[in-house]
Amino acid sequence: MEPYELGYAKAMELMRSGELSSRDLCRSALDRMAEVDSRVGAFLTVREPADVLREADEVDAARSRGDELGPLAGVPVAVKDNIACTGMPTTAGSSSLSNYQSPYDATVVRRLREARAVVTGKTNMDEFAMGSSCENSAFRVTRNPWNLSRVPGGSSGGSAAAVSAGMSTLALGSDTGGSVRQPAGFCGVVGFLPSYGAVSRYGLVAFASSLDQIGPMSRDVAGASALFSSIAGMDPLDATSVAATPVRGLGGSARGPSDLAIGLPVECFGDGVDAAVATRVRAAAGAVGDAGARVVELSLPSIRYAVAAYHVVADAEASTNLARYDGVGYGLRGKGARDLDTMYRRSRREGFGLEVKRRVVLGTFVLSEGYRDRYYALARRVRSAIAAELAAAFEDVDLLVMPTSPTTAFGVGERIDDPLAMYLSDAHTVAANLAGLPAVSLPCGHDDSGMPVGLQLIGRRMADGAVLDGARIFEEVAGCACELPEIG
Amino acid sequence: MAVSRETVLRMADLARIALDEDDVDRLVVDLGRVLDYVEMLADVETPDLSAAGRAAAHLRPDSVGESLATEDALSNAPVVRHDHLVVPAFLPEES
Repeated sequence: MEPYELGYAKAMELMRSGELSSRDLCRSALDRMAEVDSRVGAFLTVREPADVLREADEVDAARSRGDELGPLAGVPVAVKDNIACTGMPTTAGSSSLSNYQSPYDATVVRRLREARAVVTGKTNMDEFAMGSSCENSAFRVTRNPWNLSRVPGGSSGGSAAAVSAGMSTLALGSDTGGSVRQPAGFCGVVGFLPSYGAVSRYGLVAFASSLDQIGPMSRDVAGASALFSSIAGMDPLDATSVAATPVRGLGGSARGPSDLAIGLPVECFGDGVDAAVATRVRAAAGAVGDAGARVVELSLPSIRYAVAAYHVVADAEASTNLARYDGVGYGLRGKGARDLDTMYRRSRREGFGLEVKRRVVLGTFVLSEGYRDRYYALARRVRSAIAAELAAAFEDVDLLVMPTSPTTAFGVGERIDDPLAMYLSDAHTVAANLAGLPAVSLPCGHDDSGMPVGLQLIGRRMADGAVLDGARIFEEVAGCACELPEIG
Repeated sequence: MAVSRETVLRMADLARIALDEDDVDRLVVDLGRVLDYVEMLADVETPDLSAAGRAAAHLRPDSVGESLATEDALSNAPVVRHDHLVVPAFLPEES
């Protein structure tokens, strides 16, 4: 077995026992990238192998000296390209930032470096995190490692594909309406959305500031947990950051299935959901029930309004956040303008792709005079109603269980001309962002065409540790474990 | 809700994006469909927002500290002269 084939838990065990060096693990990841990334297209930037291996060697030296090392030391991590890293471009998948080199590290990157993780490169994404397929990148389309004619999902499609194909043990993505969980589901890996505020957004290119969170991706729950623990925590540079419950420990959950009550919302298993997807997820819930958990069906009627509420709120916030891309101090500047206003208009016409223009124009509209109450104020009230309904559900259950997405990965080009169809792939993921709740996607078997099915768990606000514990239970008793695809 | 070309152009104007004709046509269609879809929000019974319980952001003292060095802050600027960002004149082209 090649080192790149090891999940985080096994790789860390072998590094701690001295049977595997960080150099070999990182070398294997780099070789895997060289072998398959021309077909998958996950990375926009890869660091110089010499630099990557030097960092790995330093960790190996520290380990053999007996230095105390944390759970990320020597582990390769790929970083989504909307997270600021010095020494590499940070493009957010956009022409407007194609030459942007951040002068500072995001807080999560600083914490990765302090933990001695080895950042290997920056991954592809839908432009400004607006998309569900990784087809909206200005640079390339990333392919699903399970079937190269299918999308990896988005917007963290590059990070999901990198982990899925064995090109990195761990990855960071960002999730505003499902952008870590949905690609994790489509690519058959673990993707975790922390509670809003649990991870600092300092250095994350902002899309929708009340919804954005950075989240870990891995091929096992242990990896997602280790990465989350290392990056989470209050940050004076992010006024919205708060402390969530810690992950209990990597060596196994203190809780077992009989301590769990799980709820299946009927609305997430009916119309619009692939039969194969619903069956696989129900079977997994049944397995956890057989192992002792209490399993109930419940109803969340407001969930059908979540995509609508999400788009109004997110696009409104995006229209404000993206106003900064004006060609003045950084980023693409439109050519030939003889006055400032024309320069702004050209910079943004040339720098933004169509989906970004769509969302900024929609966001501007729902905030504009005469429409603000009818759309934006209403969407905010619906958002509160959804959050209240979810909070009420958690009086009865610990975790909600449902498919991460109504279908498995669709084909490249299939939904790109139908924005609404694209948005509906997030129908099950946006509610957690609206309510600020922690949520995770786990692999849950495959459909008849061999594509991964994603299972989502949602938990109480700030109970991030409990959600990851629950994910561990599903991983152990319900067959929710990752496999490595054969890259076609 | 159907959206007119004038509306799309006015919103693009507010957002300071010059749209190509093709993009205007597409956005008229796309925005109309999305706005039709979000009409469903009017069906939801919603609480008064004054009761919303979002945690307050934590503030830090307004004290002077280290910040980004000027040369770093300008490191991505398209046009710089004497530590200033250079941009076209503020007056519109017509005048």
